Amino acid sequence: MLPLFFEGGGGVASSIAMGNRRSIVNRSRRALKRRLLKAAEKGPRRSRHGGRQSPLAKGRCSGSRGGGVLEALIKQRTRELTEVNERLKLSMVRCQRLDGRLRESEELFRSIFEHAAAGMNTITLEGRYLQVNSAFCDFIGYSREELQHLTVFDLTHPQDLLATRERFEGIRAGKCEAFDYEKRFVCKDGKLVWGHVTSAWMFDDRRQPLYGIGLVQDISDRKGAEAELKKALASAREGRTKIACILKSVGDGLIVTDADHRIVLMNPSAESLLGVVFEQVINRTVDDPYVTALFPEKLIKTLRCGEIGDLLEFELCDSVGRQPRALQGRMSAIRDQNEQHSGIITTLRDVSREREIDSMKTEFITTAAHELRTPLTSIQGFSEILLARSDLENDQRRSMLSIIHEQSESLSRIVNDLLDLSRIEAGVGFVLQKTPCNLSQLIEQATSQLSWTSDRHLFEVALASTDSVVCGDRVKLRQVVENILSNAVKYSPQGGSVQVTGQRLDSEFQVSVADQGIGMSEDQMLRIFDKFYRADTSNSAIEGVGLGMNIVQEIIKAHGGRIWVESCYGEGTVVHFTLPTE
Amino acid sequence: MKKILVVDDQAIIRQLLEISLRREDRQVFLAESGERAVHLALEQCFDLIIVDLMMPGGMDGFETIEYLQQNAADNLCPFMILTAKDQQPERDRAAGLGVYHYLVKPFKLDDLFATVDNLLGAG
Repeated sequence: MLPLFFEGGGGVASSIAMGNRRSIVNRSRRALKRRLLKAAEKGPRRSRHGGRQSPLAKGRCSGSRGGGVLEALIKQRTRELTEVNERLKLSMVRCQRLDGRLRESEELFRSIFEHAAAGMNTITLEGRYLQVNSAFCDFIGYSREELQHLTVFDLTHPQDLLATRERFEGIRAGKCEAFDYEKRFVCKDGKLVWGHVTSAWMFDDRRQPLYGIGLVQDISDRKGAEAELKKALASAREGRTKIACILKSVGDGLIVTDADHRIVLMNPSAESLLGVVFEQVINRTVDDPYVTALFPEKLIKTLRCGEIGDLLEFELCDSVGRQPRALQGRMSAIRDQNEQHSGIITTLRDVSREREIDSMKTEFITTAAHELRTPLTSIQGFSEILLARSDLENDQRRSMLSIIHEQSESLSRIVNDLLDLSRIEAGVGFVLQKTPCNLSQLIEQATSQLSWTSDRHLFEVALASTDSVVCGDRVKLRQVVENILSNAVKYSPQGGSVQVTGQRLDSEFQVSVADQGIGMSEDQMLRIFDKFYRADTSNSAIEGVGLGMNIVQEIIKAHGGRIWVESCYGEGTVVHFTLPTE
Repeated sequence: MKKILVVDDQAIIRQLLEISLRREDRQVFLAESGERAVHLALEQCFDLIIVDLMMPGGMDGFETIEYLQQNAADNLCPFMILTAKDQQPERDRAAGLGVYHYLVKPFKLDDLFATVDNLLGAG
């Protein structure tokens, strides 16, 4: 039988072991008593074993024997009883001595149990607390009384409940006699505490678990420190991942070299710009033949002896064999926490697009200058002749003057284009003066002008004049029509027909201009609306500054219309645009 | 009678040069392309060929000069370049071909006359 909960106060808390032993002692005492009683009833065992009738029984049965016999019997009996009594006394002394030792042992255990710095308890297989010490009460925050009504499972953190149950099951199933684990408890105030639990179990003769003696060490501080460390590690890792992600995502290439010119970092952009895998050159110096074979010479030279703030520019040819790309590198110093120079970070940027735009701008300026020079040449030349020569006939004068007039108009168109461009660039856009405009009229005017200049082209205009009225800026729309038609002429140097068709679609009017010219490649089609873009720069004799289609698109957009092209290289181009009729 | 060949793809410029250069002792021939110029120059001798650089078609000004220098070396006349291109690479290329008379459009008629007179006198 197990002792129940002991009173906590006054040092009465007795040890479970002692209680157990006492019950054993009690048991033996009771057994002795029973035996004595039996002996008193039936007489000495000897008589039973001897087969003789007991003298006492005999006396009781017959009562006819003489007093001497009885006396002898009594004496005999008394002697026997005295012997028994002596033995009992001896036994009593032994028991008392044993009891004293047990009590000492109990005292010792109780003292250890109660004064242990670690929490201690005894616990049933159901998790009920039999005994707890003050340290355990301090640890968990519940009083002894409160703990009488709680089980170990009530105090276990939900996340450790399964592990706890598994261990109790292990004891129940006889798989183990003790366990040792770290778990979380929930204190009375709801706080979470970590305990290192060591539990040893007692079993009865039939190997049934009786109770467990548990030692609970408070390891919250250690766990806290562990968690802090874990957190610090995680945050360091997170920080590293973040930096790695940033480096990875930077569009510019980054190459980091240390003070000994070893390549310690290259981000994916640098890898793709240079076509070099970082693993190939990691920790190699820039003088390593392996590195010099992979990196462009100019970059190696800069990495080796470049100054901070240096800018370098070099060209790289793709292995694919496409256009070489222009790369720009800039070097900056890396300073460690002590402001010591610890390496160089070189950023690489693909400036191909910028260089392309630069060259397009240069080309534009050259072309614009050329475009301006041609009409200027004739204006200047013919006016000089007119001023210098008095012998000219009227017809000649007239024809020269009309040339001067035409050329000045052409000049003003170019200047207007340039002004439009600067307005678009400045984001001002167009100021449209909208009136109803008859597109078929505008197209007729433009084609008749163009057919003057080119006798190789046949203009076929099929537009119903009645419903080709749109709402727009007449001057700007004339610019659009002239531009598209003159492109059709420009890019069909062999001549051919230029077909202009138009139709009304719901609330807009669509015009299509088709030529039988040189057509455009896919790339040219993609870039036709780019500023400064001229489809064929090699053919410099094709006039234009490369602004036309860009401006045309801006004008159409400003009107709320759309413009697109279809083209087949070598077969011709169709330009479509729509304008709202309202 | 001195013979001048003017090679320019733009009709207005050809017209301007014809009117301004024509004199009693000079004959002005016109060609609208490099091919046409080569054709004419291989047929007859000229005292001066004035060439525009940017011309559509197969032959630009430089190619025309190069072709004639290689194929009509016997009766080689001086060349003069009259162009809207005013860039150093073109000037260098012209010098490389031995053409040092380079006039940029728009030009003053006086400059044109001086250069032409100079070249015709030397030729």
